[in-house]
Amino acid sequence: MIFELFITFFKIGLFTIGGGYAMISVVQDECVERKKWLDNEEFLNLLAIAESTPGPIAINMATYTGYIKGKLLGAILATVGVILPSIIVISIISYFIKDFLHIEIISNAFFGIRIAVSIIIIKTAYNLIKTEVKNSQHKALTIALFVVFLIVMVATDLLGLNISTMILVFIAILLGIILSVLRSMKVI
Amino acid sequence: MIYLNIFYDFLMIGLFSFGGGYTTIPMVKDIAEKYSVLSIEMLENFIAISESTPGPIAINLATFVGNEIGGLVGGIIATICEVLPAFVIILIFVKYFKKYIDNENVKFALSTIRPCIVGTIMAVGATMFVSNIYPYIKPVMSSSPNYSQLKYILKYFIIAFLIVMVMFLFDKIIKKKISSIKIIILGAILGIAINYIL
Repeated sequence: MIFELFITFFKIGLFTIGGGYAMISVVQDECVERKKWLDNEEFLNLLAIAESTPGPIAINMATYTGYIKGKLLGAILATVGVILPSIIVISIISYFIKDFLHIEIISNAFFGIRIAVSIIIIKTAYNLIKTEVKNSQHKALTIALFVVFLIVMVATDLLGLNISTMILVFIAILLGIILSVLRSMKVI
Repeated sequence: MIYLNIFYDFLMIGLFSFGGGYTTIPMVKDIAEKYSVLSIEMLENFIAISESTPGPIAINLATFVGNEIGGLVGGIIATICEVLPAFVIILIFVKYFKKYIDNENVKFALSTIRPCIVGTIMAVGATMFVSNIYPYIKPVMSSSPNYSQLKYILKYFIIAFLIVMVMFLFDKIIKKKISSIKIIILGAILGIAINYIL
């Protein structure tokens, strides 16, 4: 049983490309539909927790399922299982990548790939904020927070100020708590 | 000593990344700049590979950058450290706080934190797009343009334009979102093709 947790999450780590949200459907298929480790309600709980705690969603899911099914040892095995394929595959690639990039056709390919990556990041952020605005009860507030953080981050980069992103995230968390308190006091 | 630094830096990333995946990219970029072993260009290569190999992007990226800073052991330490805060927090949650997750105030707080974080992700995407091309635009604006620099800028914008067009067409005509991996493959093909043609 405990070992099955490890194998299952190792498989999930090995066969989901793209991670995060792509992984959600695989975990549901494996752990809810096939193995019946969790029921649907538990899975939704898990999603809510995964999205509201730090760390990659895949890790949250592995730890949670592992704990439910096998306590601490289960949690450890499931989590190690899900990250192990990454560590192995990426360590091997890291070893070769530098020499690989010197080949002309590869470096040409990566010229295009780098442009694709920056566009993907912008597009992902755009999709995320669209969903946030759609689901938000305070749309103006959501947009304002997004725009302010976007501008502050770009501005600090342009001005060469080294404000760490963590400070910004910390400010965001503080803001979230303050706004939530204000809301519960019916100020906003 | 370098391992201790990796330990601390990636522990902090794990602690401050909500939702994983792309949320770690702005912080990993900070680290790349801090250690200056990794150019923005290389970081973008890593992101592309992390996106197209198995496993969560955040984890792949941690292994990559850790490896770059401290070799194989560095990669393993970075990955474990990035996971550790999530691991501990989930355990605490499952044991003690399961009932609070549906709390309205907690949900509201999270719904105000998320747009801020998405703002930082968008900013990193934009700075990456600009930083790829900026070293080539700067000399063109200040002095007499040099042919190879102009060609680079031209190639850059042609590829960017084509990628955006394909994404747009997929969205509007086929009504399907094109996956990130396909966009990366498209970028690779365009990169090879345009350097062959121009």
